[in-house]
Amino acid sequence: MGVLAIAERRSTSSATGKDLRRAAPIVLPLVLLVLPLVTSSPQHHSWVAASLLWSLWVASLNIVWGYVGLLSVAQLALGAIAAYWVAILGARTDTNLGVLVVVGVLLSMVASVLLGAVSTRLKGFYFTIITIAFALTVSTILMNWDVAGRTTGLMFLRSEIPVIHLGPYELIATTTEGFYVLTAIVFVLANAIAALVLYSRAGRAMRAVRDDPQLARSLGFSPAAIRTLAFALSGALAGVAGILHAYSFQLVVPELFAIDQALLAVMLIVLAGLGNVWAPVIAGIIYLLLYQVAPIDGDLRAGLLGLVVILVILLLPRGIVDAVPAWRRAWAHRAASHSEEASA
Amino acid sequence: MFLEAATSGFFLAATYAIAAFGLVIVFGVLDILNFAHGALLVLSAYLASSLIIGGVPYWIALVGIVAVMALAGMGLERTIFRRVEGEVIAGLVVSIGIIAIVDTAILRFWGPEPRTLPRLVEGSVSVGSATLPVDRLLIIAVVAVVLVLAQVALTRSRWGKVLRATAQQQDAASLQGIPVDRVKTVAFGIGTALAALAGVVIASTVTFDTHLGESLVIKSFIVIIIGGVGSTTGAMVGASILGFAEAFGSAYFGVAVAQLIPLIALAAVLLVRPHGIFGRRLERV
Repeated sequence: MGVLAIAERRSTSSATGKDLRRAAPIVLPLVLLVLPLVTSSPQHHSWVAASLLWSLWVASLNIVWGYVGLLSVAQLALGAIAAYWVAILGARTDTNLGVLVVVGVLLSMVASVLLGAVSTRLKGFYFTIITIAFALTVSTILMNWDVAGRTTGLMFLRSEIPVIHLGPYELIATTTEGFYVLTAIVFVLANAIAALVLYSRAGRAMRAVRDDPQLARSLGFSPAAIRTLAFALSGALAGVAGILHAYSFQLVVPELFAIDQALLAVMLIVLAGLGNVWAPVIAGIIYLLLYQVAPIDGDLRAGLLGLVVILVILLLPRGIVDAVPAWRRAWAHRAASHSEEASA
Repeated sequence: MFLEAATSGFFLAATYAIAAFGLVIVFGVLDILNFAHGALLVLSAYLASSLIIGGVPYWIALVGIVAVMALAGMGLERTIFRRVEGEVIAGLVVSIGIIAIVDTAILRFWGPEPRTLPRLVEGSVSVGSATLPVDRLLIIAVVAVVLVLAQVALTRSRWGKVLRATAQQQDAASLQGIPVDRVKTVAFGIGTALAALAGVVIASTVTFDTHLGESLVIKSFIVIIIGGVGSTTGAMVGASILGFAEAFGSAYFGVAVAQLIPLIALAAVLLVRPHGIFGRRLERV
């Protein structure tokens, strides 16, 4: 890899720039791991941890919507499956927590793949409706099922708090710093895996399938297989996010995974730039600024976000971040035409 | 039990039909399914609760709110929905933004507590062993009249023809001298007015909060898809299927089962006949 990178750097300078740009979404989130050294304020830790949870939801949504082009409102419901699995079995059996988590994530993944299988028959908006129905089905079942605690939900892992030692950190979810570090590690890993897949041949195939399934097929990709891969990855991420989400609240309740929460993920990703590798990080920053840092009355936040989303769709349909290069190009173009006029 | 369930079925069918009717009209001309339809419906219910508790007579409140919401709908079409015309997913996303704004406004002005209105008409009639609430019977009658008038207007009147021509072929309609842009604005106004009518009517029969909008708009989507996107007849048939299935399911199998019925019905229709019972096959979505 090193030799290859050097060879490329010698051949063209733009290739290096490309490598750097590609490595950035994977490497830069590592900064998160240094945060506890910079600030010891529990409030800052819980702010960033909450934002990272939304980054994970957005990462999950970005794969199916941004890369395969299918808007899903079911990501939080998929996460609920893993979270409730861990909560229910964790309270009733003494199965090893690691096993529970892995099986829970696998369950979300399988559910996601099954949901994705529907997309071979139903495209576009019809698929979105099916995901709404799926989310509603999950919440209806949870609200009426005694084992899942109905509307009051269940305690999440109160009795069993695992301690993982990692260098100087003790990962105990009950301390803010411990939960922060756990979330940050999970996010860095999940983000790196997602970014690597999206940069790979599979990621290009996903975009090909999104833009033109027929053409993708003629190039030798199987749209069904590519979609299945995307839904598996997205479902696994949703499962991880769901378990962490429940962990942070020490509770699973249907509202945590309700449709209005899924709509929040949709709004965040629209602002962050759909299909952008950076989308999870940027969505996390938007959430951090709007929902944690900004001194706005709690009630007003959702409305403000909604207003910004409408403005962005009408004015900058590619999201805030992708708009910046477009503006730069527009300015460069204008500057160029001005100088041409000046010289003429 | 049967008669009570049947009344409940008629009532649910009427509410779903009137909520879905407006969505279909908007979809017909703009190719957008307005997810915020439910939020506008609930906003009307809140407005009605304030007016009626403030002493305004029910029918005046109803007419006033329907008129105001029709204007609001026309404003939304002019400022927002026109720009995402034909892009169903973009339309969905701006609708989500509108839902967030409307819900925020409702929480701000009315607070999170669920609200109730005094019933429209007190009392009930006994038919055999069944007791049927008069207010629901009255609402079923009013909605039935409105729907029949709307359907007749759509199919027989000159205005209905203009609307349907625009829905079918915009360019051709435009060449015939139909002011297509204005038709779209008015269609959106009519759609929102029907949402307002549904909201005010429903407000006096249930305890409601902002979640009512979410559940009703999802049910309306289901109704529209069962009936066939773009068909008002389909919407009414879909609403009847859903309303009766829910009412009888809830009476004989319990509320939890009834809540799952629409979702099962939707999945079945989408997998077997994705364009619905009366729908044209849609290539664009």
